Amino acid sequence: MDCKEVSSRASLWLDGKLAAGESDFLRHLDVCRACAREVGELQTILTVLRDGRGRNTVSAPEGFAMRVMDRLQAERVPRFGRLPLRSLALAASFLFLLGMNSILVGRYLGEGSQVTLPSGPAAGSDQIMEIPPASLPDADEQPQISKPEVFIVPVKPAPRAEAKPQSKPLVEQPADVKHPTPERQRQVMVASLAAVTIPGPEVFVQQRRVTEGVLLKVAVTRLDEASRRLVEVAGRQGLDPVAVSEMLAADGRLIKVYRYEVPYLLSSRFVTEALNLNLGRVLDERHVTEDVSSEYGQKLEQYRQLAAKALDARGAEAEELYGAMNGLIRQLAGMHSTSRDKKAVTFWLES
Amino acid sequence: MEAVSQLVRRAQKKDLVAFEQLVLLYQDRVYVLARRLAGDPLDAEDLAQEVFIRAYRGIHAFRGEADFGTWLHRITVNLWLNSRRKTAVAVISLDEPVVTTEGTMRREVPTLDGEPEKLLLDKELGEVLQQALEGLPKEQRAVLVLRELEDYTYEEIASLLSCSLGTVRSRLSRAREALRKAMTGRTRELGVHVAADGLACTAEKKET
Repeated sequence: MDCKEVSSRASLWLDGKLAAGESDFLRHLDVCRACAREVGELQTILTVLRDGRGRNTVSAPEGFAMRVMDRLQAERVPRFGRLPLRSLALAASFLFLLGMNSILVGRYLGEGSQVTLPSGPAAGSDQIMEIPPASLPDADEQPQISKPEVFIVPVKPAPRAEAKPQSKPLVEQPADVKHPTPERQRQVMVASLAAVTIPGPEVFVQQRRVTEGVLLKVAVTRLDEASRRLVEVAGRQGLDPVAVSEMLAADGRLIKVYRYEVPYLLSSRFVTEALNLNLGRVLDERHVTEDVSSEYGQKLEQYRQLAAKALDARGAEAEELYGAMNGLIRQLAGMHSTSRDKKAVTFWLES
Repeated sequence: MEAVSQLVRRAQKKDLVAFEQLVLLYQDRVYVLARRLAGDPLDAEDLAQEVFIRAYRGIHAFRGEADFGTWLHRITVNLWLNSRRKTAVAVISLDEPVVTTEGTMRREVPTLDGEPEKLLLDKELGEVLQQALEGLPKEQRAVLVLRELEDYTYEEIASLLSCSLGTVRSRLSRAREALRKAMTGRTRELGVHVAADGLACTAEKKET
């Protein structure tokens, strides 16, 4: 074996992969100082390189997973803006916006249906998986959940928290938010929360807040076609859906839910006209009356407690808190937006 | 925490909650490799983010024949090899301060037993090694990082880079030789030399 061959085989030998010819290789090293030195140097370099492994281990930067999920979420759910995925309350708010409680949704999906909520710790069988609303019009045309005019009293963080000096004035978000610091994230979250105001308990809890609604479950053959016709007939009456959602049940049924809030005087006409469209077979028609006053009070209190905690929180804890607060705000807005002179008309279309 | 295979199956049905758990489980493993390849922390984060975005889009293609982490590494190294961005430093400098919300602080280095001169020598050698790695062509750096730093076998590297075992052998051999040459050239300038029986330094260096 000559020097050239030794040089080309040193790498394999160092990895213990030079079974055949190893004795030749070693014999050459015994007699050739230059080659022995080179192989020794190589061995030392690799040892130092491997030794450095432990010391040079790093963790992913703070908020990394959140930024990845934000990007995926942005690609996927344009409907309600970019809600934080980890928002624990989001799932519940979804059901509320659809005007039904989770038990009813579970029943509608059918016995033993195994589906998954879009996020958060979901309870039992009433889980839904939200899927991207691919065939819906542009986000710009979508109804906003939070219509400013329906919010009465702006809610500041709970009084005990207000005294804290950390609540800095909000600054404009710079163009480069790709790698926001935790403090920046916090400010952005505070800013987005501040943009939504909800009525205080004194305005709301004292009065009974009753939501009346009609829920129609219709089996359709072509979901897109049925949805288009429904939206069209509603549009002719000047009605836009306040919430739209697509869901996929575990058995593969595709479900689309439209919630309209219709002035009482118009509601029965709207329902009749929609049914006259012969969208499909009506499986169920249900009238729902719900007093949400106490639930609203509870949620508001919950929100205030989170807000107080969030002022001191940092990093992942703060993210969790603001996520949960965002979800709660949307639930509260949803409860509030159904005013007493309107009726919730919800169409559950399934294919 | 659910089993990885369970999470993967859910993510394949476009369940983002399950995928987020996978991101949390594997973010460090992916980021470390991204950092070793790309060097710069911001480039590394861009690369690592892109890895997870692609992984989500292509997760239906994952059939569980490899470990999920290895699959992510495969995406990482191939994305990096295909990126045109120039690469900087492959090893993290211990001198680089850590920026936190509380201000800037020194990176903590685990204390090693041994004489101070030996530590100093290790550190200098580390820096030289870093520069030497930097100077290597991307293909050679990738194979060195996978073998020496990530401890993948030849067979795994062949699969990660979609090339033959023979190619891995020759590429690794060339990369190591290139690294050795770069190192011996640089260490001589510093007065430190790499010897067959370990590290040594010249008398003049020791006194300074």
